[in-house]
Amino acid sequence: MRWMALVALLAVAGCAAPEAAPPRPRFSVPTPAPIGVSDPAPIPADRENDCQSELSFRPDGPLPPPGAPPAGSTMAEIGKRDLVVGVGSNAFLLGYRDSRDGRMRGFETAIVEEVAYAIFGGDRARIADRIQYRSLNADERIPALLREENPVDIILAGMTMTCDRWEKVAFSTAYYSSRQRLLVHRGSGVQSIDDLGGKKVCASNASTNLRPIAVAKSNPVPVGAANTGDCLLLLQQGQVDAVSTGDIILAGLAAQDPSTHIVGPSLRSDPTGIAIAPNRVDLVRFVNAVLEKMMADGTWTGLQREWLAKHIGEAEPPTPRYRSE
Amino acid sequence: MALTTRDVRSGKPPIARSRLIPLRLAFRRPPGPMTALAAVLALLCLVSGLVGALDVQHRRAALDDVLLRGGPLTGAALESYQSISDANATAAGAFLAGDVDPPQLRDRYRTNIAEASAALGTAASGAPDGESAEAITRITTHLPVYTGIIETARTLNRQGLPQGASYLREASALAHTIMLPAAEELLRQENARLAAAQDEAAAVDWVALGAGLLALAALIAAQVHLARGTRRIFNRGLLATTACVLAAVTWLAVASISAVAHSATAREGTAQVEAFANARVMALQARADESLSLVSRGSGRPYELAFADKAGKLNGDQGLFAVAENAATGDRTRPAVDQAVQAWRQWQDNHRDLRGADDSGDYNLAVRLATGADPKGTAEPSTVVDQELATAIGLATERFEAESRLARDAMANGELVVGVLMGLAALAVGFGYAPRIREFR
Repeated sequence: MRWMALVALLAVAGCAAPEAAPPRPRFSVPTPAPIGVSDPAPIPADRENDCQSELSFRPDGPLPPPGAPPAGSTMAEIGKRDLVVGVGSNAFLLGYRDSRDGRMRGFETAIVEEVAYAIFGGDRARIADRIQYRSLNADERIPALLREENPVDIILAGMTMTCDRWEKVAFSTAYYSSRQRLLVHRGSGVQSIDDLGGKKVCASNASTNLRPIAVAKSNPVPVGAANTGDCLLLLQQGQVDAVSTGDIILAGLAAQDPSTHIVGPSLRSDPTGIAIAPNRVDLVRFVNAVLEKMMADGTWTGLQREWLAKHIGEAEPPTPRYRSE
Repeated sequence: MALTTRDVRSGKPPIARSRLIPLRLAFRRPPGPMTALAAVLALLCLVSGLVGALDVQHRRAALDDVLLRGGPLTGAALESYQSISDANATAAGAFLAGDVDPPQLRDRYRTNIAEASAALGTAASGAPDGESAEAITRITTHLPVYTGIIETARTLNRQGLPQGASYLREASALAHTIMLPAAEELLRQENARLAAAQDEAAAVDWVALGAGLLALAALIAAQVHLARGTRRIFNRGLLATTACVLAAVTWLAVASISAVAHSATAREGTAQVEAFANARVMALQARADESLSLVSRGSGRPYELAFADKAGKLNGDQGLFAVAENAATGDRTRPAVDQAVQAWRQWQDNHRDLRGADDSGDYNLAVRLATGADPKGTAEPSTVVDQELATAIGLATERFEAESRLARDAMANGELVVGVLMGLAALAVGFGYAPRIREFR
């Protein structure tokens, strides 16, 4: 009887063979990336500088007292409303919106406030209330200055003064001479672009910053991203080895990540100016007067020290340069 | 009668012999035409009974599959699709609201991530194969990466660093380019499987009904034949057989029709869920784009274009809301969808105001309009769109489940009913023919 039970048990056990686990599905390890990364990036054509793009229009004598622009001028017209300023994407330390109180801050923002104070006068501490900031995508900037309806008065978005742009808009004299350098990890040992042979270096898509990377002797790989913030993200995620753009923008990136620093000699120097509609030369001259005053009385140096010096060192204000008229 | 002999010596009453002998002889002799006919009829009853019982069993298995497997798995796929869309929209909205994200948005995000994870677990437990399995793997491998990036964005935002926006956009790109397409694919696969199971459950099996009808026809023919051969018009046994077969066929037909009708209604429920869910997911993605267009200051236009693209898909005669409105035939789903459509119109109006504020430089007002501190903003109507569509989806799901259950209940104990009735019919054939067979001997 017992062996029969055993046989029966074995038979039952044989029927109830364990079901095999399904095979593990194939998978690939996720590598997230921001939208708009091009690797390697197409290199934009070298721009020509045959127009002396750093020359602006000389101010009409000394700056009038705050809040008293000449009657009939563009500044007087602006004085009846708010100053409309075009800004770019969030550039930390340069022109950014502080998410804690929603206010604009930074080096460029301080310059805007100086211009606004020269136009409106009044309470210096509350000058921000008279400024309207419009954030503009790169291709929207020049059209925003030129349009008939509701145009932007001035644009401060780290714009390089190029001959191409001079054909459509006017620029103030340079408020900064930005130098293209590199942002790398502190521990990487990279000192200049010569150490980046075969490595990936990121810059904004279609920006002229890609060109010095592409032509460097060490043959780094230029990678394009939608903006410099995405370049920093790629650096932080180990997807690129360096970010290369103007040092005033790099300062904002370095400030957001203490494990990075700015290295290398200047790959190229770009005068950065305030863009204004070409039919408002009086405003250009006025803004230049404001800039000259800031540079002369130490305001510029104070702002540079406050916002940028920690990451790119102290700098001298650029020398105002004007066309001979 | 002619065969009964009288044995005087045995002393046993002749009646006893007369009972025993025919049975014995029946086995000994080749069966007469009457016996063969009876056997064929009985067999016909038994076979059609078997076919009917198998049909019922098969169909009930299909309905069980719909109710216990297809429904929950499709629900899980839908849940993961909706939860990831909602999480992405909520994360962007919370980011926009300021350096510290509002607790209710944080809770909503956490709930969505938890729901998505749980739903993916359910979906994976259904032993998926092929593209479903691949889609589930794709989502489950990316979900933790996604949440990690979101937390980085949140941490940077708390420190007031604009770099957080890059992380938020990267996370959103991950959701939009990898997880949501995979979730959509998973839902498509599960919907197709559910539809196939519903088709199978709702199909009328003509073989089973045909076999029953054939048995019925044969019985009637046999009775007509018998009535002509004998003088008796009715044969009790065969009448009983006919009654049993008729009952079985009728039961089968009624149950089939009922199951088919309920299955069809259940399918309507499924179609409703699909229509409402498509609109809801698209609205959630539009909400994410709206927030991201403000988060990505100075490079927000792609998101504004994406919002317009999604609005285009929701609007119009062929748009997702039109489809949802057409599908909303119920007394309770109709008002829910109507309210969602109304809120969507309001949302679009308010969105134009929001764009106007941002374009004219009043970014802080635009953010207030987007994040709900303002009654004329987009947060309120977008929440209404989401909630009303969720209500409609819930109602349609209930309808699907209730109708599928009714379809299955219509088939309850079907094998037993059909099997027993046909078995009885076969027995009754024997009872009906036994006297006739005796008569002919």
